[in-house]
Amino acid sequence: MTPEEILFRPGSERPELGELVAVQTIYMKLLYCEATNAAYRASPTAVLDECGLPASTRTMLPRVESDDHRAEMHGRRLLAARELLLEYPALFAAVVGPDCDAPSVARQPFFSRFLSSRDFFDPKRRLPHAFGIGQGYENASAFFFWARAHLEMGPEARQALYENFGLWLVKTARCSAVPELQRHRRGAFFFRNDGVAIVITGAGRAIEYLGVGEVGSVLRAAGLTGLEDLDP
Amino acid sequence: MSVLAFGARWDGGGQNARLRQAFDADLIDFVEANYPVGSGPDCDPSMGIPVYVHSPANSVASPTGLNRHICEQVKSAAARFDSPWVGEHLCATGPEAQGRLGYIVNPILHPRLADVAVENARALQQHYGRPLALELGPHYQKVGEMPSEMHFLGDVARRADCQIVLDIAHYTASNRNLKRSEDYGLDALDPERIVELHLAGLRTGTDRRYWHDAHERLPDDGMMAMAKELAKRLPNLRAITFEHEGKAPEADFFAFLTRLREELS
Repeated sequence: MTPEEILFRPGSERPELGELVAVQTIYMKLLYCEATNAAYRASPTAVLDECGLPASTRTMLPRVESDDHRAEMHGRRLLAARELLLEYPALFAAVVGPDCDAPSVARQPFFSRFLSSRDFFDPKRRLPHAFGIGQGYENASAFFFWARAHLEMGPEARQALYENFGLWLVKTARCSAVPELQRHRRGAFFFRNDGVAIVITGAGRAIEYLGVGEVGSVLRAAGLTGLEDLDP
Repeated sequence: MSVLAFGARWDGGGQNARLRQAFDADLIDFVEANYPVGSGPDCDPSMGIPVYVHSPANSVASPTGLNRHICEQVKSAAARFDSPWVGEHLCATGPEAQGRLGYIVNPILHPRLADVAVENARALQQHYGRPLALELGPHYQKVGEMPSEMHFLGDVARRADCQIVLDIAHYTASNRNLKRSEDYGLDALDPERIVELHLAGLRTGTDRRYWHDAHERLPDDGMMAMAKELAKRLPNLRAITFEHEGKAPEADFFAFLTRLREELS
């Protein structure tokens, strides 16, 4: 094999590595996902068996009951919470509390659900990164797609989620040369629960849009991104 | 010991002013740029200063394969700046070839994963067309059957014929976290493969038990003493890189670089 074939050949073309990939995937879930930890604590062999792995691969995985493992998990949760708190200050103020910090976000049950979700683990459920390196290198868009579908929110929190994400999206698009992101440079919009359209402008401001008729079509025609049906 | 070059880590354009000033004052000889980077005007680390290319974003110790976009960006930068080696972390990043969940994931310390890392490191070295210098992240737990991450690194570096970046902060954090002696596992590395040291501060979490890399802080006296000792005895050590984030106090940055020059030149 050439160096490039070794480095970049899809995993599906290297079946001899399949077992190691499966073990590593469980390892990563054990670093973030409370549900996987609970299942593994209850029966390691059942978790391994479900993934088609022999019991002998248990020696390649963490001792999940150890303080060391819990400490690493805790640190990773805090880092993820810190990253998201930077981009979603209004949302977390609404759903956690006005003075919330990363540790208080990290303690929330909804945060555990996000870190256990497919949106978190699957790079294809994120937007492309601004540096041109593909999907999967930030959590802001993963969290938006997860929260939009799964987080129970009142009207205020919902508005905060869309505004915070819209501001992040426009800011990211404006500093990126990636075409899939550049199309969001002109701004974005969503509808509040009362039906009023909120526009995130290209300058990064959130304003009410009081147009008449097919507001969504008008805003789309102006080059704005609809956040309610944006896909990764 | 060969002639040592002193450098500082570059994470983005916000640091350019202080790095330029440090270079003009003969406090640093190079910047070590962390890739990938963006494409804006603030994303060029050169400033007329030699650049060593480094990447903490490639999954060298993973069976998933690597991200072609990142490798191409690193390769291109290494060629542009004629980087003497390319620093890469011996880690995984996410469940697939592309993506990073958050902080890098330490490798599973198992001979089969070591075989994969050897194959990847050899291939990456060939792809870049220049030496690879492998680095470990800080460890909080031991996962796998090999004695330690130092043994894993030593084995991979030897078999893949790679150089080593020894990050003294990561190494010290790992030793403290895993309750090992301060010089645990150094004998697992071939001393002649270590070409670069990284120095940064450390802090404990609120539990006061586990230690973390802290680029906003300065290395403590113990880490400084270790750097001096290693600088004396490593036959091929060529560079020391100070990792200090751009938002940390500028006075600390210049004071530590001055101390580094005085005590290790």
